[in-house]
Amino acid sequence: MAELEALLCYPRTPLYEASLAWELLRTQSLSEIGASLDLKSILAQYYPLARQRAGSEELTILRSKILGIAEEFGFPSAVSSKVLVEFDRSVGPEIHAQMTIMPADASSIDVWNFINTAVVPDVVLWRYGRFNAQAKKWSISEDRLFDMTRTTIGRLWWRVHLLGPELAGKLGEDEVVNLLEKPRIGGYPLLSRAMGAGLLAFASESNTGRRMELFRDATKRLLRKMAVQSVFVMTPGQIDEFVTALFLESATALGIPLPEAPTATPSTADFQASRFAANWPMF
Amino acid sequence: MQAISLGHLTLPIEDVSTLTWEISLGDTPLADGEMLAQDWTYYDDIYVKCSIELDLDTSLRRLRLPPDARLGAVIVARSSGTPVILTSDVRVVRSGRQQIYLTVPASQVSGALLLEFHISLLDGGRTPESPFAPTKLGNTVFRVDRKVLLEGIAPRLPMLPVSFADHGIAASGGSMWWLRLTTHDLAASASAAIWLWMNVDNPSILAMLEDSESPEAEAWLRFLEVDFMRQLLREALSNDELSLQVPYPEESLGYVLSSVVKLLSASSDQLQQRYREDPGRVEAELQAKIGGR
Repeated sequence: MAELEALLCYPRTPLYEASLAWELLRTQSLSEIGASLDLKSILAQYYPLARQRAGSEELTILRSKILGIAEEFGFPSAVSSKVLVEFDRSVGPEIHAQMTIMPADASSIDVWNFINTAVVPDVVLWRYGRFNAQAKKWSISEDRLFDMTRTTIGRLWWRVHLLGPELAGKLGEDEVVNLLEKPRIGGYPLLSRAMGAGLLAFASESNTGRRMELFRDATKRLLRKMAVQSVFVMTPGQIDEFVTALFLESATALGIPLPEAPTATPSTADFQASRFAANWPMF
Repeated sequence: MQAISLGHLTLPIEDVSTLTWEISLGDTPLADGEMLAQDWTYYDDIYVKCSIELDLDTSLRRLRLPPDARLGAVIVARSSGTPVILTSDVRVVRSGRQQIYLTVPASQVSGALLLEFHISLLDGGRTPESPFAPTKLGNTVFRVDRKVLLEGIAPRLPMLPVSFADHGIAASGGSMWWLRLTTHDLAASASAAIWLWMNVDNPSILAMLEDSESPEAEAWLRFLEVDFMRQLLREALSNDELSLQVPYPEESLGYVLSSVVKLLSASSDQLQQRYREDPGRVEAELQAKIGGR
């Protein structure tokens, strides 16, 4: 496991500056953006007391890695949303492994502003932008640029960090957002992984097309129960049982038929055991 | 510190005597009751020790639990800056003095650190002696909190310069700002849920963004702050699920909205009623609370 001292802090771009940068980037073609990037000289600020900083070399390698994966999935051509989702699943673990960023630093939206605007803005626009030929300008939802839970690159890093690469790759976008935007659930990996694994198991058993409805209902029940029951004294096995009971209640309430309670399901422990082989701290 | 009541019996603070927190940031101990960790950096792990002393038999009797019931003690650490939640090992509570330890890795937290000490039911034992006894695994019978400010957490208006024309608003140059809630889910993170979009198509707003210290900008910002709070109040009062009795996590939308309501009333229902009768007066009261500068 990498020492704390080896974890990197990344450059930061404040929100306002990032917003101005996007105003310009959105008027350019992907090739123009790619050609204009300069990662040799970093003018941005870092966490002031950073002991290890990601410099030009790390940022260049990160760009190459992300761009290489994007090209495998068709960048810069327009591709289907299904392909873009597959891109997310492939690139998330790579970003997590490559960046070796200190989680405290990764909690700053300014860091992801820098990655989005200075390292891979072309990939960000390819992933979430839509070019308006009439206005000669890219349109892209602000969420994908500036919102900590939805930002294009940062959200992929956090979901792998909290859920692990395997589960992060299997859950849908809305499902991950539903889990991780709730601080009480998303931040406790034993619980969030059990919820994710529980959803996959129940969706598979019941073969339901109402997977998201089931998940939302189970999440609401979980939050209500957490007001009177502390999950923090439960063992991983007890959390799995607790979560299984929640999904059973939800399935029953929603009239989703289940042949029987899932038995041979991937448990939290399984997902814990198959942690991504990153050489630095993960839960 | 608080003892909680959640539909089952709980332990009053007097029953958990000599409860103390000991907190060190790296090698530097934090004084008892001190909240501000001035010299903390991303490299100073936080060592937490919580000491308690109780008479288990007395506590179980007070909770109407049989003598073979088991309680567990745990420290839970949350941070306002990262979504990460960390916990200590769970210790089975016994009579006498006990210590529970947690090391919070510095790299995992930022902002404010909220430490919670819980005593919860691990095993209800034989039949409970009262319908009010805690019976479910995890029923919390005692809880105290301790907060440590690791770095600046001064609230900022979550402002973002945006062209409203790009969002289809006709003649957008007259628009000024847009409070945008990305979700109404009270458990969602407030920083993800609340956005204040500033219209860069409006010359006055653009000037304010470019020079936020000019007298005109300061006047706009005061007005903006009041209007922002007014819109949050309106959102709070129209949200059927919001309850002032629910302890929303500090970083959640529910916490922010209930805080706005609490500025004006201890009862959400009463404030809703007053707002229906005379919204202008309620908004004037809000202005008095926040805009009197």
